[in-house]
Amino acid sequence: MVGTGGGVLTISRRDLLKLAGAAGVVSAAAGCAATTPAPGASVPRERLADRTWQYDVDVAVAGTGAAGGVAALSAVHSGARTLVLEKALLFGGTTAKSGGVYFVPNNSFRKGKGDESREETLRRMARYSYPQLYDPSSPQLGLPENEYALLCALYDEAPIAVEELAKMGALISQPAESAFGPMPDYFDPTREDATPRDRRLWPKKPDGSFGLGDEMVRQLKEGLAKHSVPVLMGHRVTRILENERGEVVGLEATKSDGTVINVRTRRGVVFASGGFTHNREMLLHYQPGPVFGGCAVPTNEGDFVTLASALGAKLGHMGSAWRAEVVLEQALQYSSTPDDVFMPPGDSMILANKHGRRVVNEKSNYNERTKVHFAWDTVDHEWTNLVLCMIYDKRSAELFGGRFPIPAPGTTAPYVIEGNTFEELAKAIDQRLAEHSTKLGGARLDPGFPAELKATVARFNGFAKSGVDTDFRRGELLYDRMWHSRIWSFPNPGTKWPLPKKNPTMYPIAAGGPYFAILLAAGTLDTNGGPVINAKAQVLDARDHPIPGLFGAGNCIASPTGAYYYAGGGTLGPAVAFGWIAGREAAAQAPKELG
Amino acid sequence: MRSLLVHRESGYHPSATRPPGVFVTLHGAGGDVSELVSLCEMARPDFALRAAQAARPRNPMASGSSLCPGYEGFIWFRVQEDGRPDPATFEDSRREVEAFLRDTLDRIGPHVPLVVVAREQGVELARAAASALRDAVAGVFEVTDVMDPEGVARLAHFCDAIVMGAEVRPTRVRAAGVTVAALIASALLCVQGAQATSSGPQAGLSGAPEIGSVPAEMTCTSCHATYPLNPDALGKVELLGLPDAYAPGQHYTLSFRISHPDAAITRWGFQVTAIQKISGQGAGEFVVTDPQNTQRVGGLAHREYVEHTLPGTAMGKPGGTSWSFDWIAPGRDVGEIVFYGSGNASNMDGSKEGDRIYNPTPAPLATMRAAP
Repeated sequence: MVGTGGGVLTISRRDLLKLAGAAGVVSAAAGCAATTPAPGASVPRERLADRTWQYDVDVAVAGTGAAGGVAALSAVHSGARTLVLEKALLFGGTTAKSGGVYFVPNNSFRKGKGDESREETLRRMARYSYPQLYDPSSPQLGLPENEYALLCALYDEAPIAVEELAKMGALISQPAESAFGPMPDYFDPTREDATPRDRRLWPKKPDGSFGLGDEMVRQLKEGLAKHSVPVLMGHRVTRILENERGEVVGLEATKSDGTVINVRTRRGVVFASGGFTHNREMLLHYQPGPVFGGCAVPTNEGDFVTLASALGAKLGHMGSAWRAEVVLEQALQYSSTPDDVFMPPGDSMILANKHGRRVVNEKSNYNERTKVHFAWDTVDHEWTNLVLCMIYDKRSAELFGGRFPIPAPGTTAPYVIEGNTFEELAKAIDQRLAEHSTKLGGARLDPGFPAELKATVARFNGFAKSGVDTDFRRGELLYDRMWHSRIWSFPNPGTKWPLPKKNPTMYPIAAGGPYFAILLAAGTLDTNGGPVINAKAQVLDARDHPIPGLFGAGNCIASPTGAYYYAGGGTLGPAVAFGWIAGREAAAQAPKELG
Repeated sequence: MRSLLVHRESGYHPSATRPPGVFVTLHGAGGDVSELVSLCEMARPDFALRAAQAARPRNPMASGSSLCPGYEGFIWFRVQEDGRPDPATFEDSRREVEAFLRDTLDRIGPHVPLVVVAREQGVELARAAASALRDAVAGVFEVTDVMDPEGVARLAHFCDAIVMGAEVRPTRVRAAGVTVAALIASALLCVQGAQATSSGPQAGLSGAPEIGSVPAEMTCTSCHATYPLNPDALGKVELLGLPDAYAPGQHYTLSFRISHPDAAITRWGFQVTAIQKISGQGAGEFVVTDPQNTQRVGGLAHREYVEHTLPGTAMGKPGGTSWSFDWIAPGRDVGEIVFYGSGNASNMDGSKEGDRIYNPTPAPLATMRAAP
């Protein structure tokens, strides 16, 4: 509110934030390579009643990925007249190209299998999402009220969402362990536990087999059609409309031909429009280190950050992302990376930085492993792990070729660098870096790389022989061994190479060439920062008051689980849970008047 | 730009005799590097071969492997709700394929005929990427069925024609003013330069599929390649004035209409041909009734093409335009006749960039049967 009292101009904190948000919009939009008008921004107040509304609904949902699809179905389930808007001309957002796994603690398929209790699971989530705050003796485990409530909501509501969606016939789930056997969570070290509790779910195809992300969105889309929910493709939400009381009462959406439509939303708006992986300026301003794109769909440009900022929304976890390494040269050459390095394949394989040193457990999960790229060298003042060289020998090339990014035997990949000796390899790597130097801030190998690499390999080979990596504990965790052996590094048949005996993830690197290197850099599956929500999926303003009528779920909001990736499906699980909550709560809002 | 595509290479060594030709293969959606290799090796074992693989697995969880049944293989681009290629992933692959073709030429040498063998999504890319290499790509062979028992013979025949053409190319290219490959193969090559295209495209860009023994034709995207064919649902092309059935020898007044609502599109072009569906030969005769704006050119297999002239591009006109011309049906019943054609919605920037090509191929613009 802006007003004058006793001759003094008083501006509320919210109005200040709106102004600040609007200013931020201008700078953020400048870096946006979109062809349609950038979303935004503050415009002079006008009479909403004068507008022509092309659609008049209870609830509008922006986005057709897991969070958006589920939110729309949930709103319909609660009796709301619902409309879906999708910026792209492809249905399903990043979910459609994902593995389609969703992590659902306490799901009904786990009943009677000796799972952790609610309290134990919440402790585990709190411990890994907020390790610096975690206090098992505190009633909220040391977490602020909202963060704790979000974890509780995930635990309590995710299974409900899955069951209700199944009852609607809109998403049929099955345990993911039916495909490869039970796999360990990412936050479940289980050094001593040989039977991982696998809480991942996968969509079940009509023929009973498991489907991936495309099947998930196919089912959600079919569910929307069954309930006669209109889906407007190629409609980018470019403005959220508030009435004089600051309640969200409508949207403006812009089509690719520039046409603007008005959508009257009587009860609520749910954003599920993806993160900001493809907004270079937001990446630069918010991420903790250099991010070389990612596999999110190209329409994920942080629209909700911009739109909600203009309404005074509080932003959270903007430095966070679901991370994965990418092949540097692909990231530089493609609009969105075609594939991700979930786990570097191979056993006679290491990741080495510009100095030729190992810096990480190469078999740790993608979200954790990728964070090591942001290490800052306090002596040379540079990102010392900006590019990591995935180095392997002929054994790994033949035994594990075909597991991305190692090319299949008999094929060549131009992003693979070769050398018969470490010196030759180093020279070739450095030449390749020089080709890309303008995009890497001039990053090159350290001159001491070949000698250091020799020492690194000798040390690694000792670990491989003993089976124990005393530097990074590679292969110690069940996660490392199982995801290596069953998924990302199962060996090609018909080769002569023996397999490791003590630790399946390590084998000595050969004493002679050829050697190979692939340049890896930090990418994202998508970012996961944005407007902060509460346990009802309501977007909060800077004073932690819900912005009436505004809801969010999926990767466009501040991740309810923080930066931690609990398991396979660690991104889609919360998307399903909070999508369900958002749709239901939006539908339950009292109708809002324009004036 | 260096192509990053995973590929397989055979039949070539720098120190060996130069091969008579080189295949580049581009697989279909869900295929991989090996999909078209056997076909090529059986058709012309003496050719060098470079088989490319799309970078995008059908799903990253499967990463192209058999890890997840039903998700094996790779795709070049994603497909929109309306069935058209997703522009972002299409453009990524178009640039990659173009770079791969360039790398192939650098590696094998510029005078070895390059034959692109492609299936499904690969065909779209071959057509689009070839525009930048119109002097070097000899032809595109479209594979509709990898298991087709006659596929090997047909590809061998296709290559024979190209090799023969390549041998005489240095003289005939200059003498005829049109490249040999365009006569023999799929008319991948286009008239040099934007000005020449503005004054009317060369023959053989109607997008007609392979019919009988006549190879498939390209569309105008072979030069106007900024966007994939039919880049949006807004552009429309129509051929008007045709009855359901033709009477032999009868005159018909037809018009080709193109429209697009984008106000930035203010220049237009087209080409239409009529083909006997059974034989692939040209059908009937076009008569230019508006010589200011339309012209007629001849092509392969007795096909005739009617197309715009330079003044006929309706410069500065937004919304769309149309051209009128006559067509005389064949003097006898030749069975079903199909009309193919492309329209160009141009941004009038004087270059071949930024223009949008519309063509319903593989569907024709219109189909007619003989009157009973």
